[in-house]
Amino acid sequence: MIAALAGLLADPHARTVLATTATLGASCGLAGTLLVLRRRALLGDAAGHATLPGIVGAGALSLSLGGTGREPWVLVTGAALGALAGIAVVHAIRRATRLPADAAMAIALGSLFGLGTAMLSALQQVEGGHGAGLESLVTGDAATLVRADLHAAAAVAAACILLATALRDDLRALAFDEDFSRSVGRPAGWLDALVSALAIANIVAGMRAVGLVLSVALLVIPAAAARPWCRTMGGMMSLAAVIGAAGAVAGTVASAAIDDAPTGPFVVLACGALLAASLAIAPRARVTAAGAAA
Amino acid sequence: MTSGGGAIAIAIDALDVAYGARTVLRGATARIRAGTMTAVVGPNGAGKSTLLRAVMGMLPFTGSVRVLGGSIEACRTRVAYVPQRAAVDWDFPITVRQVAEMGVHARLGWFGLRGRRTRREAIEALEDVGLADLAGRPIGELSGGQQQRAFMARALAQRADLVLLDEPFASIDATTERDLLALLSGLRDRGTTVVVVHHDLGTVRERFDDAVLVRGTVIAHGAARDVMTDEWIARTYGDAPRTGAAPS
Repeated sequence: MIAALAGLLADPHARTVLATTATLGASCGLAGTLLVLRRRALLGDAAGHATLPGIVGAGALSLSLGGTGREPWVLVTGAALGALAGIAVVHAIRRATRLPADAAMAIALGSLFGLGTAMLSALQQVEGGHGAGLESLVTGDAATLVRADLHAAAAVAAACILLATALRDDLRALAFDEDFSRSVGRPAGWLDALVSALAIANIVAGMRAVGLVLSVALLVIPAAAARPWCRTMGGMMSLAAVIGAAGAVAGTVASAAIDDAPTGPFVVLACGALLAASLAIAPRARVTAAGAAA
Repeated sequence: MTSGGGAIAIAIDALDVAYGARTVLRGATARIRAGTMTAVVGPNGAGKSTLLRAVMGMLPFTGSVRVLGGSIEACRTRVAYVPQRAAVDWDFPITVRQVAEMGVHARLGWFGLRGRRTRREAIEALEDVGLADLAGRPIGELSGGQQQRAFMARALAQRADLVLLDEPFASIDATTERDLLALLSGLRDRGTTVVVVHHDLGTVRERFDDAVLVRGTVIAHGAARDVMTDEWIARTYGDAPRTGAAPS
């Protein structure tokens, strides 16, 4: 593992890849803590899966207009619109039915991902489409990362740090005691929209590295691993960022050692191993708290 | 039943509240006098918490609610609301001091100066409730009574003119209940209006100035000695179980 890491660091492209995944992991750990403490993890999952029809739709539109079908700005726009549509679908299902939130999210997650997969198959049938190589966005392929991806990840991480720091008192109050937060006139809707926006930004920034299906795992697992060790939300955000970065780097190195291995599953497995280690070492009472947090 | 003289802190008129198809309060009308300690009593499911949440503007209603002479939106920084303990995630990673600081932040608003002064005022509030020694502990490690004290410290830190507490004495020890009642009486003596959803009819008669009896509407409101009579209590509770009713 260490030898593999040293080998990778000798190569400039590999350094870019590792810096990108480490930045993404840290950023996801921070934003994921907010998502987990606000009990919105499944909403992040729904948003992540909903990016697929958005991406494929945007790619198809680009192809039909004579583009390559995989211009980064086109795919990012499509992914963000898809994620927003996913959250809108969850809210629409809740308004139109009396289903509980988890059922609404599961319905939106499954149907939108199904739609995206069907659209991807259709696109692959089109001459010149070949799916436009979009399938690598589902499970991620860190080898394709370039410096622009690092810059995007750094921008998202900076936005997460800035907003989470500036609004930490209000975000903490809302997640801990929503009634109190509302009673003093804090805008719960806007703060929730901000948490969702940070999660979507991380999912979109990370789709080329870890893939959009597993991006929610990179948001949630580091936060759950950090929970037993932290007394404050700020501490939990910091530790989750470190765990996320470590898991992302370890997963990237492991996937690079195997030919044609997708990056996302290895990153998630590495984060999962860190979570298991955290829960195994942490005192029993604190593990219960982590279970409640997740 | 009407209140005596003095300024009115909360004026509720023809208040209707429904959760979907279920009507919880209908035609509720009450006055809560400024500078008094008022108990809101009634059986489970009577709409006591709903009444408080309507006053806080936290649910849709029809009718009129005026708080401190105007709309609740105009005076939120002057009102402290303590929700039921069950409404809160007690496993949340937050220290006792941070809970008290929430009260200071609420008063400072979005861009208020934070830092050393916030911290000092939070510690002062914790000293008032006897929790200063536990300031650095996670809230989840405290007993139920201590957690309620922490919420009381947060309300004190808000330095509000009106304090609303939703069942603050539910499942806490007798010492904490006595201490918190003394703190609330002290606030009232300094001019704060205190409204408490409360179950123990015995302490309402002894410790509260006024009472509002609720069951689907306001059955009666006014001075505790006038409305906490066997007749009004029987009308409010009917066959429902009552806690701590004084023997008649």
